[in-house]
Amino acid sequence: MNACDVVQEKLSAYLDGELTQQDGQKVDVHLRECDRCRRVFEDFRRLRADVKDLEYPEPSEAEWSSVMAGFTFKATRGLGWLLWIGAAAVLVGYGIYAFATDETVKAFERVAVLALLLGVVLVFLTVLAERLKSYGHDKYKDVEK
Amino acid sequence: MQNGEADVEVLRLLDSVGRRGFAFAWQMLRNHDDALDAVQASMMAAWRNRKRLRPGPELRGWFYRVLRNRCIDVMRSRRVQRAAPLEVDPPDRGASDPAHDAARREELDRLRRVLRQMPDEMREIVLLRDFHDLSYAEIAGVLDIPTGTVMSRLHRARSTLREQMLAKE
Repeated sequence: MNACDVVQEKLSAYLDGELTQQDGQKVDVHLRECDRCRRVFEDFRRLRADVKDLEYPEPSEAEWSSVMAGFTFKATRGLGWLLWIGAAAVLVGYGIYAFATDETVKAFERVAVLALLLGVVLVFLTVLAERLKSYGHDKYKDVEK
Repeated sequence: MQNGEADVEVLRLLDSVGRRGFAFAWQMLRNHDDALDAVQASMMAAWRNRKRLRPGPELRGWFYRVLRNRCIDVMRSRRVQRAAPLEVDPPDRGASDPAHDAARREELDRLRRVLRQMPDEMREIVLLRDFHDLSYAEIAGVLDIPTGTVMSRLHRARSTLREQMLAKE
């Protein structure tokens, strides 16, 4: 393998600036002295510029807007849920407080209704905890349906 | 950075990476709708994983890798032929110098034809580096090969491309 063969194997990486400083300098020195290798290097550089200039089909603006709209909805959906849950929690909490302290309702009625509500909340939380636990162990959760 | 700001940053990146990624999907699938589906699904996957991907080269490399795998799945399932001759004329950019533009267009058409006839492995690495402007490290991640292999494969691919272009001149 002569000096030109050794340098030409490195020309591609030299073009991309991916050689070590030492190897880069060796190629640099050789290129100043060797017309043949310089021609190969210039061909590589021209081809790289030509490939960059190639044109391929693009999605239309309408198609792309539709794709991006899906992400905008997703980005704002989380905030929407947060607001909804926060407002619902405040309203329900206030309703329960007002009912529990309402002197016009008999004490046993208040206890019975509150127990009923507590039961529903406990069932909901239990189911939610189970779902979250199984989701955490589901290795297929990222698989598209 | 707040979550909202980070999400906006990811959206902005996905917008530019996705547009460029469409060309990559098209280069593999040669079908507009299939390419758009593959890009959209890969963007969704990137969105789902945005918390663990740093915006920038990491997200871009990850996105191209997912997109490439998805395109391979599409080719397998739909039996799409990579070399299917479904070439679309490049968009007309307007002619400032018709003679020069025609010559340049002819030159790029020839390059496109030569690229299309190259082995998939070679065409892919040339396009990832020179058209999509990915670094060697990013290409290594996308193709799941060592950086040294990227270097040698790219050298072989460029040498082959050069020989074939010179042979056709």
